[in-house]
Amino acid sequence: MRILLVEDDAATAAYVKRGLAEAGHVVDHAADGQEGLFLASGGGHDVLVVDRMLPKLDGLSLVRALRAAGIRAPAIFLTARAGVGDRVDGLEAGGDDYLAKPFAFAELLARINALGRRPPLQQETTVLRVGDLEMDLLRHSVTRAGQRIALQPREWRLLEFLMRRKGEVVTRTMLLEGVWDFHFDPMTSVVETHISRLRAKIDKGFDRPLIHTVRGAGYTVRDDG
Amino acid sequence: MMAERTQGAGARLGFARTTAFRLTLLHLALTLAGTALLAAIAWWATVGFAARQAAEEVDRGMRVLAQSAALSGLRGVALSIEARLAADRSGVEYYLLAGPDGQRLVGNLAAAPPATGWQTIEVRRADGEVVPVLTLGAWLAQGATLFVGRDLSAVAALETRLIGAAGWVGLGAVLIGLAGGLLIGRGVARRTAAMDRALAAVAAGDLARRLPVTGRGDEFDRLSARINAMLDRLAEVMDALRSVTDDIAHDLRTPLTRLRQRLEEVTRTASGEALASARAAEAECAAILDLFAALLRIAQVEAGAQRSAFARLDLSSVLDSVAEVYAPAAEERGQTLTAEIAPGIEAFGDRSLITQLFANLVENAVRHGRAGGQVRIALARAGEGAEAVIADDGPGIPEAERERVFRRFHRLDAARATPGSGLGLALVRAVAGLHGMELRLEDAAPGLRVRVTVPPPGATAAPVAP
Repeated sequence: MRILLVEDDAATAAYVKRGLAEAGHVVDHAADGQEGLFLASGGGHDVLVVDRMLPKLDGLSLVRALRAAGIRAPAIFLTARAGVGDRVDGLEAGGDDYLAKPFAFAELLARINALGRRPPLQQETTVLRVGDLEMDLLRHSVTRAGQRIALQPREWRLLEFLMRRKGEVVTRTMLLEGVWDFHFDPMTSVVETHISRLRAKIDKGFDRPLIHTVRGAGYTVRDDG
Repeated sequence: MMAERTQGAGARLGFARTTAFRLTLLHLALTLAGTALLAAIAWWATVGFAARQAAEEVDRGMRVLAQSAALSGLRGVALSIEARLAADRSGVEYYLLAGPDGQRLVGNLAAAPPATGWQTIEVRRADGEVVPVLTLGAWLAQGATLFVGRDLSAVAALETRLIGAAGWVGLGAVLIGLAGGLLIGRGVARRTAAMDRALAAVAAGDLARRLPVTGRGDEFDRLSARINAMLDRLAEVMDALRSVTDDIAHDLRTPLTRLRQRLEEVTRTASGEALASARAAEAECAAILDLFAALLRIAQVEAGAQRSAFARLDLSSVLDSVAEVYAPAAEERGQTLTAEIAPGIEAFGDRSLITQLFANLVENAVRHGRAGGQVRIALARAGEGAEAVIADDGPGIPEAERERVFRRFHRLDAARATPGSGLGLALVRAVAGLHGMELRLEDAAPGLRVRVTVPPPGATAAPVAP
């Protein structure tokens, strides 16, 4: 993917650039809001990563200007604030996601991948499949290798979220936000508990696990076979 | 709208307690006292004057007639009386000369008054009307009695009219006084109410709100201007504080971000003991940042400035979601988590903050409740608003500690062994305060029960000291 990074802190920018390059992305970098606006106006970026506090033109105004100019590339805001209400401000300005600094690089990468995935304007899928695991959204049933698996509603939602992003890394915070609308980090390891319960139903007793832990990043559902 | 109506009714009922009402009463009392004084002076100057004049004339008549008796005997008196009666065109004079044995010698009084000296008697006049007559009787040297009298009906009529007039004036004064008092009172009440509304809005977190200034330059304007100046100063201080917080957030987080980045890079390349150390350092770094973020968040919420995310929200679904998130964690501790959440209950506020409030409370219940015990989450309508209850059957919180647990970094001795920042309840209190929610910690015997009273979504968030 081609990514535009608008970030004034040189160290953070270098770190993000190197990480994204290692992950196989092409990165354009702008050190202030005006340069960012200039680079982004050309179009051609799949994802914009925009710091909120920027010299010359702040991040919110930058994205607002781009949206007004018809640039639709998904944008993710980086912010250094503790951020009560910042997320809503960001979304209202036309941002698509929001990440508080400091972030783990894996978190940023997972979110960039999720945004850049661009859900194909497909006809509504009714069956999600990963390996021999099948989730029928119409009949509301889950089977693995033909065996029916009974899921609680909360387990169903978690599995659906993961299966819709099969092959992608989904972080803890993405799950908290996407599945339960939790925009903060609970002290208790609630996500781990949910995942381990789901694993007990999906993977236990089968030779190939489908739910994988990605060390230091999150989880992914994929069939390695 | 509901709130405004009840507020209006409250203001009407409360009017009796206002300064304006007391001023109205005082104004009325003073007006009445003034009117009474005026009436008394008028009475003294008119009725009193006429009565005194009548008495003087009677007295003078008596002296003249007594003198003529001394000079020319009873005969002379009789002649004088006849002459006087003939001269009295208006028919207001009365005389009676009675002989030593009481028989009437001369005069127009039908009968002698019952006694000598000053008397007021009733006399039937020639036209049949009964009138009051002031009489003075005296013994003459010749053994006769002489009575001199004067018709007081004009004085009585004057008195009647004066009383009537005083009554009307009094009534008018009461009405005008009452109307004036109410008008003044209402003006004062309206202005104090406007000031009160503005100050309540400020207290609720709207720091841009100012007290109304009419431009009349009166004492209310001066007071309002002074309070506004104070609010300007307060807003400046808050702004300064916020920018300091933002600066700290930016200046401190940037190096911390770099530190974390460096550590991440180390973990990518290191192995063995170095990797373990780097991971541990990374975790410590994350913990510092979390603590820092939590502190900043509490400060922001307490400042009450961030209201951009306020909206109507489905409180029932928030609690459903919280119950769902913590259900496996509770099961892990062998606890039974029950949720009795009435559907469709709404609230007004920041969804993310309210979710965090309830998540923190449920998290506390799961972590500090008894392993294998009960955790109960309930939400029900209460009056116009709602009430949420989070209860566990753990050790609870001793009564003396209940206020202290809301302080930053305060941790109960029993909880020191479990991980936690001691900021959870501080944030709960800050969020509750921002939304006008009331928090109560109760003894669930055994365990802790937290009761959260949520105002209806229509009501403006009133500040509640938690």
